[in-house]
Amino acid sequence: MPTPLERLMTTLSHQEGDRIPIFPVMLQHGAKELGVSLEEYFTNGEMLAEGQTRLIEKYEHDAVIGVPHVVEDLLAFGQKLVYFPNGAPVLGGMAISRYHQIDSLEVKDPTEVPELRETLRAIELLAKRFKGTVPIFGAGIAPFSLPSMFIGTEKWLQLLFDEPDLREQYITRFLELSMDFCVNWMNLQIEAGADAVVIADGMASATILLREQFQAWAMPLIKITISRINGPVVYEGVGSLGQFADLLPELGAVAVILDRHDDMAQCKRALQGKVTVVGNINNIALIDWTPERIEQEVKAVCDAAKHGGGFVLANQGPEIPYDVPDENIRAFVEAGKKWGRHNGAVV
Amino acid sequence: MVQANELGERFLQHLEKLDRNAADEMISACLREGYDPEVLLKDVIIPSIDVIANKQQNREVVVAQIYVMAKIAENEINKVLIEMPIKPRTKGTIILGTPMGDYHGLGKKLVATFLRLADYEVMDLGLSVNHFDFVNMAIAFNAQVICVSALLLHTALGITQIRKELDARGYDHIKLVVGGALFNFNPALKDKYGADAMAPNALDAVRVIKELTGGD
Repeated sequence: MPTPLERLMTTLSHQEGDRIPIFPVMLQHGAKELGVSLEEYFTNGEMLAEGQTRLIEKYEHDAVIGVPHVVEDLLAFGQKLVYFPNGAPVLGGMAISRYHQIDSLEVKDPTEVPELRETLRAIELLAKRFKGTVPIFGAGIAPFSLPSMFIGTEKWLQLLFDEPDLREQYITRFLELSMDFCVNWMNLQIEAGADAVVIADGMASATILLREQFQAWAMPLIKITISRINGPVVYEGVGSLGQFADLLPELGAVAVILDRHDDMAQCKRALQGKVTVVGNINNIALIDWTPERIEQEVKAVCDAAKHGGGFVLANQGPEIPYDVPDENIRAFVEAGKKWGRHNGAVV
Repeated sequence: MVQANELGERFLQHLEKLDRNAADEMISACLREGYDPEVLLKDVIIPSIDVIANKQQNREVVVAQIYVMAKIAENEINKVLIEMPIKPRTKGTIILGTPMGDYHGLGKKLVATFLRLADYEVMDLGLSVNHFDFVNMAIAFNAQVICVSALLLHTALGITQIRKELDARGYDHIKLVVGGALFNFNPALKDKYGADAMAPNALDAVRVIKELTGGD
């Protein structure tokens, strides 16, 4: 039987292996396995690595991830996180509130931020345990979306769409600063042992931008960012990407994570042989769906996208919520194993 | 004088082209020519927004467009409102905000604008509001409805706490209305969090609140 890494490499080369790789993105469930709070878990590299190890032993899926949540990137911008008992941390405030403050915004190197050092530690420990057999993922926020997290979504939208003079004056600085941070942070994760990194770009998806805006603003930035990252990159829309499917091969990403609204069959056709599609089970609905419903949904996605390789079964971005019960995660993985088998594979 | 429906079509075209100058010139010209501001508001601007809201629900427009369209519409609404006599807001008071930890409030302003247009007094408590503050303000200002807009799943649990707090303090007659991307993703969450109703967009928020409060 191939290892999870071999399975992933086969699909990334647009070939059919024994079955599709399965990656339920569980950033928080490791805390449950260890019986610790999310705050304790998210800020301790050894726990993060142990949590991921226990999860893969329990569900036997095909990847581990060393990052607790991409929102932690903003710690380098001097922001604080507020932790919750049952979900991802949220920002306690913005780094800046006025556009001109970008000129004096100091961004720390990730290695100077204790929590980010713990993330690198988690990746190192996962690499020690899994390198060469299970794919190890890192992750961060893509540069077009980072400003929405350090100045606020409304201010970022205002700058992009409502203030042409200010946009002219400031946008380059916002994007350059964000890109430099993102590239450095992703490269540190790769140096620590990540096989690939996911860059999450909610503000650039087709849910937010028109096609011409994506082409003019986001695409050039994404292309340069990916070219500067020293390893394979998975591009995550955290929103729909289907309308941009024909543009996605130009980005330089090895795979793209699609949204539940994206037509998987259509995207697969557009990207066949070029970029692997990842997705796109509704992560929020996983809380309430029955195992039978989950199997139906997984089967539909597999039927639409598994043929010819180039497909990874996952939830839509960002992650599976903390409150999704274990039996539903198990149903997700088992359905993927059942309906993601390739013809001719030895079972 | 040009008929309202023709003006409505023109205004909608300006919105769809994101042409704020054309929209502004059109409304300014109508006001100069003595067009009834109330008719402009109710038969020209609001029906156009209604069309856009439907397109939003059908995913025919993206956030970048919605954002600019809402700005254009709000500017023109404010321009028309200045020309109208000040009316007391007689329909009652609505408390509005996002739950603790949720800093996503793009749609909330538009909800407040539409509720005010429908003669509701609106107290917008802003972003990341503690559930006690929602309830205390609702009680202090004799509000009929608390409106909560949410994007994040786990912080939306604050909505359950509002419901519990209202019930525990004997104010279960105050209605709880939810909206935002989270509930558009999974409408079943409305019942899970103990809300009385869910509104998929700003215009529907007015309709839903009118139904809940017995308004016309």
